[in-house]
Amino acid sequence: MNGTAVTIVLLLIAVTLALTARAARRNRSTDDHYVAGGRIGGLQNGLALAGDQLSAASFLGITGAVALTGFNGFYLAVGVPAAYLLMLMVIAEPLRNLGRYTLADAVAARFEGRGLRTAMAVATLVISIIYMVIQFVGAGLLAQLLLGVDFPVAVVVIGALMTVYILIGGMVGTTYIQVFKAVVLIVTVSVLLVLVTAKTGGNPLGAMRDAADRFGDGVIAPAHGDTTKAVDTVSLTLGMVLGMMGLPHVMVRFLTVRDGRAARDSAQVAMWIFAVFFAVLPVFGYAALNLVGRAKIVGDNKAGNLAAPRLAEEIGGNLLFSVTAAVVMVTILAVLAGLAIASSGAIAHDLYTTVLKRGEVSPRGQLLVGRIAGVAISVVAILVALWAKELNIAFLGNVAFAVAASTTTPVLVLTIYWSGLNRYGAVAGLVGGLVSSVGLVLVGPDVLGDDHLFPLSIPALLTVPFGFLCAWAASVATRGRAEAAGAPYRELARRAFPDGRQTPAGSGV
Amino acid sequence: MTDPHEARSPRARPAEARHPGRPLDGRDAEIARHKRVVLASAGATVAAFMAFPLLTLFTGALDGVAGGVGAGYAAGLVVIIGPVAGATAYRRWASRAEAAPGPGAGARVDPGAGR
Repeated sequence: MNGTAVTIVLLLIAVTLALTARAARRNRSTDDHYVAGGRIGGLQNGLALAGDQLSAASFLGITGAVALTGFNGFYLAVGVPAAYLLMLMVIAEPLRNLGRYTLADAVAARFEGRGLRTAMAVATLVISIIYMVIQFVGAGLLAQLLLGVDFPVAVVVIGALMTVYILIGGMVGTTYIQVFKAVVLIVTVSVLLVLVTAKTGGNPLGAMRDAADRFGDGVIAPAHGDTTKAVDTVSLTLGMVLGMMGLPHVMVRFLTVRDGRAARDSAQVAMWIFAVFFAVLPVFGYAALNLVGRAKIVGDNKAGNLAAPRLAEEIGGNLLFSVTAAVVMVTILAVLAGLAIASSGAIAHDLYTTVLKRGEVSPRGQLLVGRIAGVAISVVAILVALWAKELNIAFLGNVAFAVAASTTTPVLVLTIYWSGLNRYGAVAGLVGGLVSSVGLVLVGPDVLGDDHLFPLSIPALLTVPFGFLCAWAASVATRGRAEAAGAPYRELARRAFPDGRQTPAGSGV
Repeated sequence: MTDPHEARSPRARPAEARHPGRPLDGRDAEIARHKRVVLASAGATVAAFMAFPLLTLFTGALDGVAGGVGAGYAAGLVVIIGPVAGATAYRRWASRAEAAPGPGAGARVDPGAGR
């Protein structure tokens, strides 16, 4: 066991628990629990968005992928800023104005119906559980590799912490933790960048140049050849850039802000952080290749997930390695807290309060059910993670984007922007997108191996248009059905795009 | 079914329900214009972004290396930084649109109505 790393991890966890205890004083109502009372400002929410989005998979996965596969690893880094620009322009503000606790609330602002609410909740849960399992299994394996802690112990401790965060702190606590995580991650990445730059003669791109000198220009140039892999990469990037708008744990952050301007400001703050973060990851990847070496990176982990911590060890000794490992663990905890809030909202608010009880639950009852749902999700996630330890689940991260891009994204976009959508179309879009995206993954190469029936690992290229097509076709086919028409589109548009001059002044970053 | 949120939020009523007879067409035109700009910009963003993987994966246009930096990475940096510039421009546009007096001034709804 690495004593220094464990000590720093415990120190950072203590800070998150202190933040949670502080947040508990502001976590008293259902509004507080799910959306921090809608009081979060632009800067704070921007940092929290960065804390929510910048996962260990990004930091470790992209650095390792660039170290081992060169330019191919870079495709995972380029999509997030563009995805956030789309989110900012298309969804953020209308969602903030229409939604309350969950994504389903925004759709319910136009269409009533328990079937639609259930379909939205199920899509939310599928996306969130996929994401959560990756985080849990990844955290357990990293704790084993980085800290020397046994997998089951790590998973149970992480699950317990996640439960405490959401049970006591709710969305207020989650926001504090995500802001804290974003700050420590930014500081750590900055220190790493300074040290790597110092090692390469003060040139931030020196690691790339050195890699080209040592291994040839091919290591920093795009690779060509396998057409199926190339199409898969196009599908992956399309899923990422469109799927972000449908990720429940990310999008609910826009329900926490105090007004539309704060929603815009927060997306902009997050995008600045992403731009810097994703631009420097390839530098770390090549620095790891040069300084740590391919053999050691692969020896630690076949996917190269320890390239970043090993780079930190190489240039800053055990102390920087321990800090990096600790920051990675806190990163996972912050992402898990956001996922747990989004999932518990889908269960408690959408399924229990609205679908099962038809809204007949007191505010106190809603808060209680939300907390119970949070605990239940933690227990289920721990059990699934313990079961999934031996499975190869690395591919699931990109599947979550594809599922979101094929289900929640089409329905949210069409609800806000297309007057012709009706309730049947919304349900058809969700069900069609969910069945096609999950189904094609199940018959694809990541699950069936060489016996696959569908050639792409990430089916977004087909399933995103299919999700939109299902929503359009069902809406057109049932155009005359008055019971499916929902609230007048004109009214919804006025709520989604209110006259901005009523936005309170001084609420910017 | 009654959405509990709607049931608890009298502010969620549309403006015309509170102010019958106020002019509404100008506000609708503003919204339609906003939607056109946003959707056109979003389409352009997706097209510009997807050009990057298409060019790098299927052509040799970005295969070059100069001074130890790959052309693909240089283009990738533009793909990463470009959206931040786009976001800045969008925020300015949205702020100007909020500040400008519009024909639908009489038909406002509360921002965040229904929250």
